Amino acid sequence: MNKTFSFYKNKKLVTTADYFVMAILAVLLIVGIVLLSLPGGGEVKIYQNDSLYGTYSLSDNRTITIYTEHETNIIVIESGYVYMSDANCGNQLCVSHSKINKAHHQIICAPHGIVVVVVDNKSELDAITGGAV
Amino acid sequence: MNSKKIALTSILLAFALIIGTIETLLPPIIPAIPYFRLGLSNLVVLFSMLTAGALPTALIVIAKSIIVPMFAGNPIMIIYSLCAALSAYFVTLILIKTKRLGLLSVSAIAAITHNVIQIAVAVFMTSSPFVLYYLPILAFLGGLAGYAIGYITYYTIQKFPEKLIF
Repeated sequence: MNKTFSFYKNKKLVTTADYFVMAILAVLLIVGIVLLSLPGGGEVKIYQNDSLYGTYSLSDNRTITIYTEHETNIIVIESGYVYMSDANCGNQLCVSHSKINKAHHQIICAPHGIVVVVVDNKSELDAITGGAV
Repeated sequence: MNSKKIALTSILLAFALIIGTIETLLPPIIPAIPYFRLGLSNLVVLFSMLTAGALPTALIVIAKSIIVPMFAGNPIMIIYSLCAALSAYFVTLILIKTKRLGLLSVSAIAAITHNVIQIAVAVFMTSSPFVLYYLPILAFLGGLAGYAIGYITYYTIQKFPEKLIF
């Protein structure tokens, strides 16, 4: 019989110290929801291996195909949403990602180094003009 | 390690590999965060920490982080899973040895560590900080998954026939 095993077998499931961890989780949930429900963005930025590939407006429907050697990613902007319609990457996580339209939401294709991120064009304008417009 | 412990370690590793591989084949639970997984194979890691001990668990963690991405056909994920799983392992080890928190919290904190380190690696690898916006919600979801795993482990060790392992 192992000491650690018997200690945790006899310990109660929930103790006072566990409530602190629950409190931290509650804070994380609130912060997480607030960060991801910020008002909708206006533009899509596509990054390929750390460098900006292009900036597109979310209001114009279009299809962007990124093709390099053996790697293909097809990104579709349609009625205010952007999604990855096709990619020949290994895990297909980017294709299974739901359509996005909110600021800071992003679709990542890790095997191909592609990041599609929605940005709030208003705040970018503010950054340039110092909020004067 | 005696032969009984080697046998136990290999059985647990086999379990971890099966659970981990099946999990990568399942469709994403949350379509908005497709890379979020429950990490059910950590059930084996936590159980192994309590039964087999620290060294066998380290071997299980390292082997699982290398073999599961290879089974899933995604070798680049080895870097992500190895860094995250080893950090979570050390956090679990420290928390188990200090004996202040119950299994629920140990498992939740380990899962949060796993997700935080994985995002840190993602930021480092893609050198884009955008993914940091997902950090709080991923940490929360990881904590929730950690609770589930802690809960299952707790009731497993309550009912487990001890003669089988000791």
